[in-house]
Amino acid sequence: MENRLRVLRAERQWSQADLAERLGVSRQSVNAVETGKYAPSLPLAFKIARIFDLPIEAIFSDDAA
Amino acid sequence: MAMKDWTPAYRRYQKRVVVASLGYAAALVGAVWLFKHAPPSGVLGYGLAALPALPIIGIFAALGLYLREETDEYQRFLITRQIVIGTGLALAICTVWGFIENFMPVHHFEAYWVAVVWFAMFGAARCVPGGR
Repeated sequence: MENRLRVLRAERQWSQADLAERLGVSRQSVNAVETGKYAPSLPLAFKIARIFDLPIEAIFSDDAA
Repeated sequence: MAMKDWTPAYRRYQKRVVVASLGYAAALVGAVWLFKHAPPSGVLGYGLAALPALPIIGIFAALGLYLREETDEYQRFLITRQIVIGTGLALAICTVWGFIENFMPVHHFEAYWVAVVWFAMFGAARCVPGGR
């Protein structure tokens, strides 16, 4: 699964640690999601979408689609 | 996970493991001393002989509590993966050794070594690539 987390973070000048704090997860977890090593659960994906005020599909895209 | 990235649940887990480890050292030293100088018998003997196992069970319980308390799903995924890989490796090693012991003249290990092997493999599983 691909995502635009790095770009969205850069637009807001947030570090991974900043985003991690907003999400209530570790910086390592943000890094894993951002680099595509880990696909977040639906609740975490919704949380990320809410923080960026975007729909989930504007942040994550399915490789198979 | 670097120390600065430890989640609150992981910090609690670490504290519990340290307490259980200290308890294990105390129970083991106490049991060895007792059975050397004044060996208890009967039910009390069995109970005291099993005493060092309790803190080890405590470490397993701490791991279970950690899985329940961890709210960071990626960290939970990592530790679950580590448990599965570590358990698989430990079972494989113990099974192979059991068969070798059955047919060949090698050293017999007491059953509590399973826990030692499991802890070693649980630690080694952190180094298995993928997922982090």
